[in-house]
Amino acid sequence: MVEAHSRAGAASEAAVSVPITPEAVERRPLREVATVLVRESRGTPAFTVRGYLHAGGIRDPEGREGLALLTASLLTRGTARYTSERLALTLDSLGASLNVRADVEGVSFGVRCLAEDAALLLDMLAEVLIHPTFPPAEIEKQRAKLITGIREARHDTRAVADRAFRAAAFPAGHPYHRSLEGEEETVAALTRDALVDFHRRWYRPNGAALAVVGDVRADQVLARLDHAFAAWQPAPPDGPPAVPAASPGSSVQRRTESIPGKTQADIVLGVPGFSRTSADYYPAMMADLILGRLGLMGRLGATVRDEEGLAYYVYSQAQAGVLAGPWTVRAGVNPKNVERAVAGIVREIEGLRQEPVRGGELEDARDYLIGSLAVRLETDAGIAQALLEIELFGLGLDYLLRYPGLIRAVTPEQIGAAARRYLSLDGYTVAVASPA
Amino acid sequence: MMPTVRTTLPNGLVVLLREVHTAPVATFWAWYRVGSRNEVPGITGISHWVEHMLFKGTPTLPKGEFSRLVNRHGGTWNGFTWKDFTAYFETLPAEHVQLGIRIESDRMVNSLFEPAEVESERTVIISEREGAENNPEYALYEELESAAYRVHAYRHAVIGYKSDLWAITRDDLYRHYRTYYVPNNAVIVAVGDFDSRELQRRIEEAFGGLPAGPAPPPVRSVEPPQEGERRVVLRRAGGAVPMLQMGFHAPAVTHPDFFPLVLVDGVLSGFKGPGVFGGEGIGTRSSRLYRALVERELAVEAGSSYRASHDPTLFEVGVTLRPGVDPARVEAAVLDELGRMAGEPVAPDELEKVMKQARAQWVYAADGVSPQAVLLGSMEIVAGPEFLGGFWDGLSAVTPEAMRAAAARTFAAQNRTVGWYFPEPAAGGAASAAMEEVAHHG
Repeated sequence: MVEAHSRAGAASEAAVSVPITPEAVERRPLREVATVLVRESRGTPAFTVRGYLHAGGIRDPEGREGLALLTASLLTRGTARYTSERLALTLDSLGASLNVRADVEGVSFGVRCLAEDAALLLDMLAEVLIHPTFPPAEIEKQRAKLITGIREARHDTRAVADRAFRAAAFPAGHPYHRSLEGEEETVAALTRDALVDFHRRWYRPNGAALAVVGDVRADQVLARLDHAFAAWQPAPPDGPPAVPAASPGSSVQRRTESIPGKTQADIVLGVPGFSRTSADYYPAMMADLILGRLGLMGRLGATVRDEEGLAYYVYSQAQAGVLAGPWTVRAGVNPKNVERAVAGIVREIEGLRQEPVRGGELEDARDYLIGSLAVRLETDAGIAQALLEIELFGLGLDYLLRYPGLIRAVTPEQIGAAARRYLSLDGYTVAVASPA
Repeated sequence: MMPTVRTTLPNGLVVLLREVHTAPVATFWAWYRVGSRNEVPGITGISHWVEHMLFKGTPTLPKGEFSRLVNRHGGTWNGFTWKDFTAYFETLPAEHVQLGIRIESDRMVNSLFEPAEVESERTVIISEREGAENNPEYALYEELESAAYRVHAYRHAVIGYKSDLWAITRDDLYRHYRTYYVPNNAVIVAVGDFDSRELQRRIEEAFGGLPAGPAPPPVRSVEPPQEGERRVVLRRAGGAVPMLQMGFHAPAVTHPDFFPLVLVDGVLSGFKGPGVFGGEGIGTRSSRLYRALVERELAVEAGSSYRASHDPTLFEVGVTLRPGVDPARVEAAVLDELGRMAGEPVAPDELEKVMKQARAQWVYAADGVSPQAVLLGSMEIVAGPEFLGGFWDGLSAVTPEAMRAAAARTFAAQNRTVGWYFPEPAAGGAASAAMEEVAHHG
């Protein structure tokens, strides 16, 4: 059994200044093809799990968009041992949460509970991932929720601009071109058999990872997991799904959508970006910081918001996952200021390409990235998330020890080269959702 | 949680320090007893605008420097304004906590309010408001609050009315700043990996010399009892499905009904956490509102909210309808659940479930220095220095009968404001026909 134990156990880690090191973390295979990482933590008597498996929207067959999302939403709605109602009551009676959520690339799952309930929650997590029953009545409830969400998103200027951007910037068939939520018609047509089949094919241990952090003993967690997940069957290995190449277009593309009943216009301007494992990940990520994140939203914040007073929010964001996701600038402005804001954003991108660092920007970005490790890894959830990222991208348990060196090695030339490589001035896409 | 050391400096500044040594970080906060409750018509939104101006620099730290310095030292920062307070924070590697002291002691008294900066920020804040206006749920909430309160300043949103945002002057802003940003109206909170005595000394060094100001003017308005149901209907394009919100006048945090009603809220939609802003999302799916509305396929979302506040507030219910469902059925189902709370005591196991959620939220709220600082600062201001220490005793003493009685007082029909959002163009005759039926309930 996993049981909570007192502060006294953790003294040996005192010399370590980062919470993730090869010594501080237990890393073991689970069912031979998945990986578990456990970090004991004595801050609070809580227990946190973050996990990932490769069953995201990227697996949706053409014309069945929404399948991954609907499947994930059904896992906690009835299993072999628990009805949906019983599962909810059990979790709520423990003050615990157990979530499974699909994204474009994968499925994230997680547990949060008191350390005293860790063993039961690990059993429940295994039950939910391995033995969902997809009760027809629960499928209909989740389907209605998903369709309502699709309808609401059509009235949401941010969602509409984002969707239009992705459809224009990524080629047909690319996971970021397609809709994770699906369309009303595709969701309405999903059958229970399709959900059962999707679960059988993709909710497998191959390549999955679980990061566990909490006031528990690693050996007990590992033993419990081996027992709880004993029925999880590995599948024969196969390669990642084929994804069409995405790159900046040959010309600037503009998409405009009008939505009645709105006051503000939302803008998404960007390009297909870079993956977490690409060679220029660090310089490109620092270019993004300088463009629209550092301080008050970087250079974009300084000009478009602070000097010109055009927007409450204007920032950049690069989604670097297994795939090269969108690298975008997002802003919300009064409809009469759309052209000024777009011009201001393009001007800052041009400035970044020509002069990637000015003044103390390189030091600002460097010191922030290295210095903020402590704050980013302060909570159990922060540590669990970092463990998961380390595992999924093969960074190694010494990653945080190597991290300052990786950041310090980035030069202004590399940052400029990354900005020029991705942030094309001739091939970006801009999507605007405006009041009708 | 670890014990907290509370002191008051001679200039009236309250200092709350809590050592937490689980991670090498510290968070430093300045809280002010000013928010939208201190505003009158014509200057609504001014507290929030002042907050924005406090990022525009001082003579020794030009604009952009606060955020640059904090990031440079590996920290995060922000500020926010609520009805009862305004707060600023820097969360840093523990060895740099001094930076928080420097920034907050400087901008408490030396912020510049340059006229050009006031003007560029005017349109930023109007943009913030217009972004919120895009959301029908926000628009309905603004209608609900302004109908539920006739007199008290809780009736207007923190962001303020657009006409006021166009009209407020630099002098208005500066006067508001000088009136409320005085040490005797502020609370400093620090939580993290530091030595309390050493930090206290440094805080006294930086803040001790700031002169106390005149006591800020008290809020005079008291909301009179409501004497009959109020209804508001918002019809506009921009949404997909109808939404229902209800507000019931409910007491401030100091009232004996506070703890019973916090648990009533927990039974209705899960225990939200000990603080003003709630905690992690737990306890929803087995709650009464979820079972009555979502499980019965009337709604896709259903929840309630009752939070600690300085003055009497609203106990709120919110529902997003499933497409095609008769709004009258939804309103009746909500009233049935509230009527059940008011009519019969909850069973012991249901109360036990919510109490375990409370215990879990209390533990989760201690994971991370910032949530602890939020709890300490906000509760010092809305509830006073003794409140958190008595939280568990207060919660544990609640009986099912006390919850029933508090629910009966709160959920009385004459105490109710009902708000409906209907998307335009109207979805056909269903919505208006339903409203006629609903009208017979009141």
